[in-house]
Amino acid sequence: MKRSNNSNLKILSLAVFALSIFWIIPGCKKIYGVLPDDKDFMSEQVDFTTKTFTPVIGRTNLLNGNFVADGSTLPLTFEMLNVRRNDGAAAPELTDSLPTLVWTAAYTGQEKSISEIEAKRKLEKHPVFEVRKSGELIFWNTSTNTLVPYFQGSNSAPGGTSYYYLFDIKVSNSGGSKLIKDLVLNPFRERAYDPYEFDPVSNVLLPNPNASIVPTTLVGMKGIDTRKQLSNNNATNNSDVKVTIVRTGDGNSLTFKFLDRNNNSINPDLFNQTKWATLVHGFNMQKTNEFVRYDIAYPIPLIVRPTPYTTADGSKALVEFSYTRLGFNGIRENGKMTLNFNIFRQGDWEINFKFTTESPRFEDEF
Amino acid sequence: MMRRNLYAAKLLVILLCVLPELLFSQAKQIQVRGVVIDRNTSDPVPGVTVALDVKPPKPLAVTDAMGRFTITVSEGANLIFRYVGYTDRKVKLEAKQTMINVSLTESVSIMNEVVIRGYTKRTREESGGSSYIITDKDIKDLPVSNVEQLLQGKVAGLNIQVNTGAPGYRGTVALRGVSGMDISGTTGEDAFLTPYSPLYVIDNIPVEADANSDFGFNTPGPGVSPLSLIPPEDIASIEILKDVQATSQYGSRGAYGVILITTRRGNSPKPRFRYSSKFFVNTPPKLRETIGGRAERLAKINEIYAMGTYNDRLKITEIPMLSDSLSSYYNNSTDWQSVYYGSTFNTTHNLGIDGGDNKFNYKTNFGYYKEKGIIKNTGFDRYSLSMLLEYRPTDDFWVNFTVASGIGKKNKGNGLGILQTGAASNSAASSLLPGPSLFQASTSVLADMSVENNNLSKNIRPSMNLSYSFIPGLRLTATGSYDYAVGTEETNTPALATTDLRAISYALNERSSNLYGRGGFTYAKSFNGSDHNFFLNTFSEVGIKAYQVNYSRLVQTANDQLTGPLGSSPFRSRGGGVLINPKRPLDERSVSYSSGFSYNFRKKYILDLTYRLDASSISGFDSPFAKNYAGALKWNFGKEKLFEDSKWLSSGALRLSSGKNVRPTGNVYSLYGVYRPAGDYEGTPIIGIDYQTIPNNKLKPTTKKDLNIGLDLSLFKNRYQFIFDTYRSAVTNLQRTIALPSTTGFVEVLSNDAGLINYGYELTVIARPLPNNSKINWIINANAALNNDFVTSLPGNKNQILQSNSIVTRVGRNTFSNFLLKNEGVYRNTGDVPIDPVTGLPLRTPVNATAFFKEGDPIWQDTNGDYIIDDKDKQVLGNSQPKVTGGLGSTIIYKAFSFTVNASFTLKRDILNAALASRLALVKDPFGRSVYLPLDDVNYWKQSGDISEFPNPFDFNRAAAINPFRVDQSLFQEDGSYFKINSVALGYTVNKNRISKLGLRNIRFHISANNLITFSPYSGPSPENVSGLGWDQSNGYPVSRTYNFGCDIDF
Repeated sequence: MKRSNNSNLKILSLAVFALSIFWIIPGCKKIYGVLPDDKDFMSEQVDFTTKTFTPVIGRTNLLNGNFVADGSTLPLTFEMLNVRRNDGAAAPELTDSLPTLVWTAAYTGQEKSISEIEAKRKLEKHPVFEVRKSGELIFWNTSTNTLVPYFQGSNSAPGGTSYYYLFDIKVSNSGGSKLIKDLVLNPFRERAYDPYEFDPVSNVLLPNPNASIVPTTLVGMKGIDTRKQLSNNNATNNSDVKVTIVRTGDGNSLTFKFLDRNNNSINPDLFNQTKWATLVHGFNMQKTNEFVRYDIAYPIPLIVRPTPYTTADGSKALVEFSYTRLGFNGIRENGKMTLNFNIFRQGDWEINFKFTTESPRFEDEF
Repeated sequence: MMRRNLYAAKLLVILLCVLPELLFSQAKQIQVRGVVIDRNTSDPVPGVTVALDVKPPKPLAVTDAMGRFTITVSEGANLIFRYVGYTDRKVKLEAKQTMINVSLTESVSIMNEVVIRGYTKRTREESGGSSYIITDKDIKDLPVSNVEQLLQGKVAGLNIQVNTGAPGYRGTVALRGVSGMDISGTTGEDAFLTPYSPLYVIDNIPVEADANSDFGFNTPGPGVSPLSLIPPEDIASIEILKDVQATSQYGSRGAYGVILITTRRGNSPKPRFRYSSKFFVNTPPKLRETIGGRAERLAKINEIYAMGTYNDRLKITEIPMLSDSLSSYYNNSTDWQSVYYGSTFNTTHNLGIDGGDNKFNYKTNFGYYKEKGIIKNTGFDRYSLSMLLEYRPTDDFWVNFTVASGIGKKNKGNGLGILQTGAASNSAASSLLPGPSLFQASTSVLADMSVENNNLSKNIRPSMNLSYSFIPGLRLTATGSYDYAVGTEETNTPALATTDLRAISYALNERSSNLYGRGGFTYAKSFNGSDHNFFLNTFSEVGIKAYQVNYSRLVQTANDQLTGPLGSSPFRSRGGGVLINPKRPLDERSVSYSSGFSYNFRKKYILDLTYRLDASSISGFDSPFAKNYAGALKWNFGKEKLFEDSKWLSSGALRLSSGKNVRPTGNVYSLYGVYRPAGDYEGTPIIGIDYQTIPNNKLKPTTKKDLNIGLDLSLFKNRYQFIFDTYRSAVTNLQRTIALPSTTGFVEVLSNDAGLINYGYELTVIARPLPNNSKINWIINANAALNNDFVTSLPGNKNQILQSNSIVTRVGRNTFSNFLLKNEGVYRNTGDVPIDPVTGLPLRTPVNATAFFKEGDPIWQDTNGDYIIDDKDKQVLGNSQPKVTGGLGSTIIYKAFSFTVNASFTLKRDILNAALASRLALVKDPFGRSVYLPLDDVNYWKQSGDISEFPNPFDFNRAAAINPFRVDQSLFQEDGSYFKINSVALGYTVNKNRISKLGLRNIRFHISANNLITFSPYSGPSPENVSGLGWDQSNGYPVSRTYNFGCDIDF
């Protein structure tokens, strides 16, 4: 009896012993209850701080909506949904894909031909309005006033107001998603060049003094008749030089013309200090005694990057025309005229500088 | 048949003749003499029972005071030698053997160890809970300023990183992973892990080890921890309590583990003097290679010519350091590192006197320690004195008085203790500059050399213990102690060493005191022989803690020699008064009640239950009491009948413990707010609330729930012992700050919603591979711990918070993950840089609009696709806490020699090599005054088309815009695993017989080396000298190598 008791006890002890080892050795996570997974976090408070977007038609606008992630795990996926007019009708003009020029290599300002520049961009299909991976909104320059009719001041809606567009953005990551609703897209009508003399909304000629474009700077020029200092007196619309920017064709060129008050051409060579070869990033320069023409890639400037052809921050092209002469008593006078401008729409453009009061005095005194 | 019968009868006769012969020989008695000695120390062991090895053993004699015995036994008898605390030794006498020397080995069964639970001694056999004991044998022969360094790699689960070589400073100590998620500082190299160090109990008095220290940089003041004031020679044993059952009776403060330190007691009838001295040399680690003199000048000029613009080349002519090669001021090749770093010779002495008997015993210990750091003008001195008097007139009553005191003097030089930024940046000065002198232009070098920094930490801790038993089994105890610490620091900077030629005089005074009292009783009762045993341990604690720091800083004192007494002045004062940041004044009163109940059945099945209530004046009225409880079950299966006669299992136990520890967070300021004078109203001054933190009296205490399962095995007569633990501890209600919307009027609120879990395994193996009677005594000790930490929740239901610009805490992952830019190589050609298809601009940094990347720059992943590399592109990569820690130790004792090797290791840890990053970044300023370091061993980009690992370091014009060597990128994240040989020691004990004629009891010599070699795949200087968050601190204090010779003399 004692023996069988012992052996029973023996088996029992061994069993408990073995069981305890089994309990100890794995000790894996599951025994300790359910632990939270390592997944991304999507906060309920993600939002765009800017709710209304006002890009300009005809330009490539990269819009920053000041997106607030509130601790959500980056990167997030953005999707644009439900692009519509504010009366509810769909807006396929914004979502249909069009061939769009995008950059593939860096434009540095040192390219030597148009083909070299064109090699750095290619056509891709993009809708006019889209959101990209970083949460930024893009309104491409394939838009035109006819393609995207509901811009500010289009008076397209009943009652003389304008329609605008609404859209939703869905933000998601592996931890969830949120739909940000009813963001507003209210674009401005196209302004093909800058400075622009029409009102951005009503397209009415701006009242003086902005009604005409004047050179950015105008110094050191004396009138041919009165020897009075010419000035671009912007404040009173009494500028002695008025600039017009006109589109004359469908090609890719830029022409500069200088006119006197009777609309006769002034020979560009009279601006004898002007560096014509490096005036703009253009090629195949044609200079006659009436105009200077370049083949050029549009838009001008191509990108916002400082080059020798642009202002210091690279946002506008800068052209400078200058001459030097000997004034009275052999004092040297240097006349300089500059214009900061942009041209967004591709085409054959002409920039005319009309000396409305009197032409500059180019030759030396006696 | 007849024949067979005859044959049997003959056999019987022969047997009958022989048998008496046998009996006779059995009965033949001889006298045997012998000596019994201890195998390790060769001391004689008195009181050993010498017995015949029969069942039951028949005692024959007991050894005398010199271990001798004389017995009369039959020839060739089997003898057994027994003594408490030693393993039984069986000896078979040879024929005609009359002299025998027996050596007994100390019993090392972990079952018989004496452990301390709730300030009371118990045997490990009868108590649950997980703890580990280190004796003085494990920590001898090495001179260190802080005893914690000696514990590295000796206890499974105790992760000690000696990450600073600054004398007198502590490294980081963590038990079982991280206990919280707080860090201080915001940028990577300034971020430090808030310490959660265990509670230290020294001779049954709880002591705050962090009290006056934290990190030297964080706290102005001497920064000497009370632990640094205990000389390691005075320590008898250290016990580390690991799980909740062991620590439960120590209250909330024991949540991060408890370390019990017991100092030596007097134990010999004649007064005994123990003198020990060590002479050691500290040598700096391998220093950086630098380029000096003409080579440096040419290297800088070549860089400017290669990568600079035309203007840069013109600028060379304006910098005489580069252009004027004949200048007598700049024409040097100064080795700055030798100015700052050097080997030092140091010493420590310790004299312990003890004596007495059971009725009255005493002990005194004097200690002196002087160490000069390897950085000039730093060092640590320690003077310590401790005394103990014990009076025990009867067995029922004893009383003892102790006084422990120490003075620590730290010399911090000009740096902030562990951050010797001055030394680091000045030793990186150009070699062309002339060496240090009073008239040199660089004031910081002068400051480092000539600043007088005196600081003193004084600590005195008297205490008294009473114990009285008037009913058998019931014992009353009372303890009282007063711990007073004062720290003073004075720094005087001479005028020439300041930037504006005004001498600076700085003085700081801090005091802390802790009045502590404990009273309670223990009751032990057994029923039915020793079948049912009950033990109750109840006590109550009272404490009054106070702390305050004052300081004063004055500039433009009358002259450099006048350093005091100084008053105050509205014009010359640069701050002063009571310090409220980072340490606030403290006045805390606390009361606790604790009760532990233990029941065991025949010491086989054990049940432990404890309950503790803590109340403190700094927790609010809503929840004044913190209730902690714990329970443990233990099954000593080695005592079961099954294993009684087992040859292989000597003892074994299975343990389970679980409990809860509650720790009030917050303080009186977070509960009630901070109030300041707020102008006046109608001419009457008013007090207004400070709008930084809104008071929150609903703060919950941090709760820790622990579960621990353990297995203790002792095999083959205690020759192989295994201790295995697996644990899980869940911490909830960690305190964190949440930002509030501005409409509330306040900036932030303290909330409680963060939680994390630590789970893991620990294994300790103690092996004695050689048999008990071998001449060589070899003990191997190995331990390893694997710890996973895991964040379970964050406040505001967030799942990721950015703690500093490169550390992130994320739910579902480990607590401290590195948040870095992902580096994918180097751009071979400029055409490889990605272009934004919308804007046509290349990838850039946000520094300015034209900070574009080009060839030679690092490739960083633009995770969010906006073509700007900034903090939004950072990813969670890597874990800065070590996963596996452990150690190996081996001790060999052969006759009079002993040889010990200790090693420790850390595995699976991601650290950031800021040292390499700063080395590469040094060449970004060829016009500046920094040294140049050779980069031949680094694979960096040199020209177009190169495939390389590191970006171009020489493009100095763009270095500020691109910052290619920023540390927070995956390029510098490396595996910080290492295997370090901590120490090697060789000892020799002189033969006792020879010296006893001189009246000496023991002379022992030893030589040892500390911090010998570290093996690691890490490419930086040291994988251990990193901050608690894994950031290599090249501006920190390097850990030195020590070579030591010492001798111990007992008389």
